[in-house]
Amino acid sequence: MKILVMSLLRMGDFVQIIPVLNGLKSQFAKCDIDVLVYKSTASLQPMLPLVKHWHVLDRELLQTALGRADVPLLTSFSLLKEQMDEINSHNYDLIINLTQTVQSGWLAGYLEAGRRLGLVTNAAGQSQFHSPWFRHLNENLRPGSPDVFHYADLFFYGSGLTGASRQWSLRETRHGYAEVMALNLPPSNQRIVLQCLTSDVKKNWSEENWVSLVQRLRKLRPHAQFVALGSPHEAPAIAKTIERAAGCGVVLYPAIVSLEGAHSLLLRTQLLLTGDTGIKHLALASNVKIVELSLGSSDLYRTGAYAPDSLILRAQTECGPCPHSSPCSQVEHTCGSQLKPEVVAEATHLHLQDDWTALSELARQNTPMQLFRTRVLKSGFWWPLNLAGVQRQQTVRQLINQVGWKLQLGFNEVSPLLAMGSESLSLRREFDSILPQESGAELQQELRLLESEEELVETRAFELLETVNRRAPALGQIQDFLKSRGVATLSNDWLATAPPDTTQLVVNIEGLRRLQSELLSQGRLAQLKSKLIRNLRTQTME
Amino acid sequence: MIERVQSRSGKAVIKINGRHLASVVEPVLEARAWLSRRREFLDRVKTVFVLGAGSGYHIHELSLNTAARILVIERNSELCEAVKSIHRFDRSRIRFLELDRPRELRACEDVRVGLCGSFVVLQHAPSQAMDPDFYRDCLALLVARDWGNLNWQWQLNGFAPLESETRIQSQRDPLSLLDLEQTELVQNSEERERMLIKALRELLK
Repeated sequence: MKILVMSLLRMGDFVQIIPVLNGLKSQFAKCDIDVLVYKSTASLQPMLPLVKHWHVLDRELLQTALGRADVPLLTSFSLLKEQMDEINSHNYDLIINLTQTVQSGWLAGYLEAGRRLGLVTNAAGQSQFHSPWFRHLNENLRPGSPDVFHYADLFFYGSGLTGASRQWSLRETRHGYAEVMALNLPPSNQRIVLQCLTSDVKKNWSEENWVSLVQRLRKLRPHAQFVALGSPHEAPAIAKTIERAAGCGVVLYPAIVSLEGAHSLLLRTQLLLTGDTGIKHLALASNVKIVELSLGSSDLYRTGAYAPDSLILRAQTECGPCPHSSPCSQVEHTCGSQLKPEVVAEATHLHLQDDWTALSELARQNTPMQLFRTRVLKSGFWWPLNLAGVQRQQTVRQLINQVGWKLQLGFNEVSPLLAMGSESLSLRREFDSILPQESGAELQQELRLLESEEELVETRAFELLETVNRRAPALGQIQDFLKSRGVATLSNDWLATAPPDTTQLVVNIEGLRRLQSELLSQGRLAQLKSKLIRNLRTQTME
Repeated sequence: MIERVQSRSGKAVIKINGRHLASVVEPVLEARAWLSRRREFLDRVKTVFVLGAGSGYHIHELSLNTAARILVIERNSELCEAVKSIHRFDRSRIRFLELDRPRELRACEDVRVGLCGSFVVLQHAPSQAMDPDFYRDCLALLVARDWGNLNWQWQLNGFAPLESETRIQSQRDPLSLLDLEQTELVQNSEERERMLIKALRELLK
């Protein structure tokens, strides 16, 4: 079997799909896995021997050809066509598009395969997702919402894989090892690596903050060794930070290395402190402890450090997470300035001691800063636990919602009724772990309340669906209902401007189909959640 | 009148009507510098068109740095022979196209084959200075930033015509992908090629 996985985003996004590549290799033992990536991602090639062939799309070259009048107009077209035709000559059985951008949809449409998963746009311009998971991703793009899945989970399940295990393995290369040896760092088992710079200025914490952090950490951990990690183009800025730290009496070693070198360094590091998403994901392939500073456009619920017991810090701001493409909208970089170096230093110190109780106390004392402890749940989802205190109601609802979606979206792989027992058991264990103080009676009460709510939602969704099926939709009521369920499809223009109630025949067939699909989805989800809650209640009583 | 003179480095350089077609100091280094500013597509395209034979050093340097087929367009056949006598080019990969008029390019089989795949055009300024109108028209025909040449190249690739004649003659500014996107092919057809143009369009956003 020949599989092509498309990941046409940045390096960090590609690292997030490593569990998919490993999962596919496990599921189809004799399969060949090839990837289609941008040039910036291809530097991971030596570390991923499980990928047989790397198709590398040179985005910058195509853009250059498009933008220069002395280059033939058809050069970029011919280059792209030749490459796509070459890919087609591999005769793939399965193509999985894990990118979900408009561009990748068109390319996935041009590429040929027996089966395709993920966004595919055909020549007529019609897009299909070929998996409810990818459709769900596309329809729930509201940034910052906690009611979403981590991309690593979503891509994993969307690729037709099951189970809670995620493998993030990367191979250490001789080149990477040699780069680290050439740094001549004094041996240390208390090495702390700082990735101070990111690809987006909005995600950068100021140099002043980094230096202040290192000064404070030096006092808390006098035997620690501090290393500033960066790529060659970041060398001048890192040299400046090192000079400034030296002025404050702190030795900060430079580590200007390639990605292979960064991986080798992280394999020999106790803790990584990073605001950069790419290096954070790379660290998942080592056993290093991670402290993530979630700033700017970083969306911790979708891209947070996917390792159990990592620590994520962020300032809770109105504007965050902001869009990737636009500059900071604030007069000052609020999310960065509210993240205090003294708290980050203290949190890092406590994290190194595995003192989660003290970290919870620190979180409670330092709002609006938020501290999260990451967990990989038995239900097969990643979850950031707010250390300032677990909101019982919110947590129970969110975890049940996640599993409800999993049962619904994964319907093709596993029958929800068959999976219900094991899913509720896993969930029950998570509640025991996350809500240790809860008495059974309180949880029972919460579950009873939630069950009755879901039953009402189920009834209401199917009632409204009936009105749509009769071609006399109660638009105003549907609008209110979907809004209460947080459904993004309210952007549907004619629905948003519809009169509160109408029995007129709605002629927009596409709109009607979307409504039908959404109401059916909400009804079934509520149905599954009700059953799940009933199972949970029975287990809780036992 | 064509002459061969010796550069300070000892290499032969061609002088035509009193103008040297390469550096009389270091023609090889000059050719390397010329190529270093034009490298970006060389390892990706199938054909490289070179406008002007010069003294051949730029062609030689190019041949060392690309696996692509090289088509040299030159009006002066005597110059072509002089260049070939200085350099031993691999004839299976490097072809000299001796033309009187730019439009002859359209009938040339090597050109037609080259235009059916990926290609770039490299300009050699000293050669072009000898006959600017000729090379300007050759360049226009190859870069196809006007509807007439674009349509010709498009159809050479086996695709249906892009637009009507009226539209072809109404445009004056150099065309870009944005114009290609406005064609019937990309707007209304269901040809597979439109998916690639749509994908490229996303790169400009």
